[in-house]
Amino acid sequence: MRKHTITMLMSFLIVAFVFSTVAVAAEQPFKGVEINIPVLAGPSGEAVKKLAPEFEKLSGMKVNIEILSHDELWKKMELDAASKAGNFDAYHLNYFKVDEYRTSGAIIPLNQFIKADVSPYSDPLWDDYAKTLIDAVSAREGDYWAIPHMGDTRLLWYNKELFQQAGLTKAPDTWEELVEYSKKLTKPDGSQYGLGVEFQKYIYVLDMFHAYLVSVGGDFFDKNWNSTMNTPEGKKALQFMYDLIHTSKVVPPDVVNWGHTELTNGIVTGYVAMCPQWHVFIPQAEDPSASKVAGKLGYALVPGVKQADGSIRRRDSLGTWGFAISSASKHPKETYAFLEWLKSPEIDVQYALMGGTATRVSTNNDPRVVKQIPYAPVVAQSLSEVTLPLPIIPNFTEWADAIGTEIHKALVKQATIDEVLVNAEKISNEMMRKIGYRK
Amino acid sequence: MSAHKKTFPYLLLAPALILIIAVSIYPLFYLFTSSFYDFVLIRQAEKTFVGLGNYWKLISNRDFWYSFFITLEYVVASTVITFLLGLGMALILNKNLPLTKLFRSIYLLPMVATPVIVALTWRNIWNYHYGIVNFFLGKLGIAPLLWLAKTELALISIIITDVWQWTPFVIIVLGAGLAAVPAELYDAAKVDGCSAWQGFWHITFPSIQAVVGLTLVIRIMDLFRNADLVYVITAGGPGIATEVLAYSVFKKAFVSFQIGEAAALSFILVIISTVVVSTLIKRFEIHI
Repeated sequence: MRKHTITMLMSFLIVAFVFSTVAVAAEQPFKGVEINIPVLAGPSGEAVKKLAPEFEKLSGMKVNIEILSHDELWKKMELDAASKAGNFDAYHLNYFKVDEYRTSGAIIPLNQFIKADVSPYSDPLWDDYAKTLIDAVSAREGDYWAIPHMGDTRLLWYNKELFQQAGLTKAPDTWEELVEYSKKLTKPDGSQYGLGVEFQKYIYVLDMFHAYLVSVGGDFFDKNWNSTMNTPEGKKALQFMYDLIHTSKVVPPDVVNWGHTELTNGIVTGYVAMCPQWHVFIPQAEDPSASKVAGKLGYALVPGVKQADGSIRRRDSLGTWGFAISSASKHPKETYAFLEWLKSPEIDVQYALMGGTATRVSTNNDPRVVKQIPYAPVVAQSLSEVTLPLPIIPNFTEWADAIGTEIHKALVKQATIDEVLVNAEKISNEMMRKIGYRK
Repeated sequence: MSAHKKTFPYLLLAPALILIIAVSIYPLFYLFTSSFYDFVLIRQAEKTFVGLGNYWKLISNRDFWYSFFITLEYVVASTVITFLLGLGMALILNKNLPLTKLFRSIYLLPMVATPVIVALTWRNIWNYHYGIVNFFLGKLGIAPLLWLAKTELALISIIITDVWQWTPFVIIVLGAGLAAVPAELYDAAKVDGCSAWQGFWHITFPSIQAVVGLTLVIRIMDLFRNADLVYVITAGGPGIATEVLAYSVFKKAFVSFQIGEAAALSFILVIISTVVVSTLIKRFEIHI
């Protein structure tokens, strides 16, 4: 009898152990898997790192988030992709880098994972992103190539206190109004300027030129990839930038050295009264310990061009990143599962509340997010209605460096505007011919 | 001599030779061969042989020649100024005046600081709005200058930063050379009624020729390959006013990832600096 009881007890324990193992396996389907993902440094990167342990508990997978500065991120990812070392399972790519990685075979399409429904935690819900964002960072030839992350847009930041002192009651709606307001806000002794802009060499000045170019109805290329920089629209945009520095003089004279840091410093110290700046830097401006203007800034859509019907056509550059899966990853489906979970609606809200740059339309309009980030709906509106991407081409960095340098030459009077536009057109056409986009 | 005795020395040298080949000769060979290909780092499988195409693309670009001449300007100006300042300071310190020991420990500081930190610091020093240089100019009643935003001033700012950082190196090397000049030579010259300038020109300078040559060689080699000051302070701007060749190499390799073009430009830079340095080694009879 005693022997029978012991046997029954042992059997029960064995069965219980087996079932608990199965239950744990079901609860933690990716146990034993380890993935590595690099992320751009900043509040968004920190938020991803804070969220990763939650997914680890859920899935059993180890997720290593490596936070890197911009330059380090590009170099490490590029070397990993070129060598197919597989050190990273996913790449954190700016949208204009996606095609470079896609056409070189460094990343893989995501439809295979979406169709196989590999993520037990979420659905991609692509409709919850602004179309321009999906088209820029992910959708290519009928497939998705990256999960959008950090939907960044420029807003017009303006110092309400300085505006009030100058008798201005609203943010400018058009570029002409912007200059007119800036003149009123610029002091003759140079202690304050009406406007700050990022005209630093390379991507900064290229981005600003793009913003003005698309707002006046121009673009870098036509549909056959012929350069359209040397056009009336191109000249208007470059002349506008030149005039801010040399004619109306409403910007600090050293804006040709201004990037994100200088511009943000300029507005938080009250040196400039307004600026078109990426919304990702707003937390810094609203931090009372670091900003003299915390609580004094207003955020509006960037100015535009008045149309015949009286409406304002606003256009600006898009800034968005995405996570794409490395073709050398040993755990692509698990990596996809983590990324889709990370960008799922509820987690995206948590990420935004932690200081991350939200990507989903629903996140930017979520009451919890709006309570903490009052300008979030303006961001959502800007992403949906205003932003346009720079050219998405496989040799983007080479092209951007060359064209950005040419534009900068005009602003510092190393070449005339006409010379620069002619040269930029020649360079662009040659580069498009080289990659087979243009005959 | 037995075969073993003939080969043994080479066996002892082999590890060092292998290391030199691995870290020096092979990379140079790889650089040279890469310069004949058109390839982007991320698309190495699509590497295409273009012969001298990369070299032609570079030398037929007007911006290359602009970079070439500002590189020469940067190298010559920095070398001459650091040399003259360094020699002057070394001569003064060699006299063992009061507070020399204290000054010796202070002047080394710029040289031991990390180059990137030096560059970041000077970027702020040159800042138009809050930089200390413009602050002091303001105290003298002079309007602030666009040190990093005006094409005429940006390279001067880089040169001054470089001179500030590397004059201590020249002081140390020339100081060592001056300390080795026998004092008896000066005593004898004094007896003959020699002036201070005559003493310098006929005794001091000839005695330190080799050290002068070595200093110039090291400085010039360093300046040709220096991209960190430009990278941090001006990013080659404004426009291309400070885009020295070394920075162009960096941009092509690590911004555009155009490895073939970067290799070609690197090789051109290697040739230029080799010609200059070889000339100096011959002129100053430096024995390496």
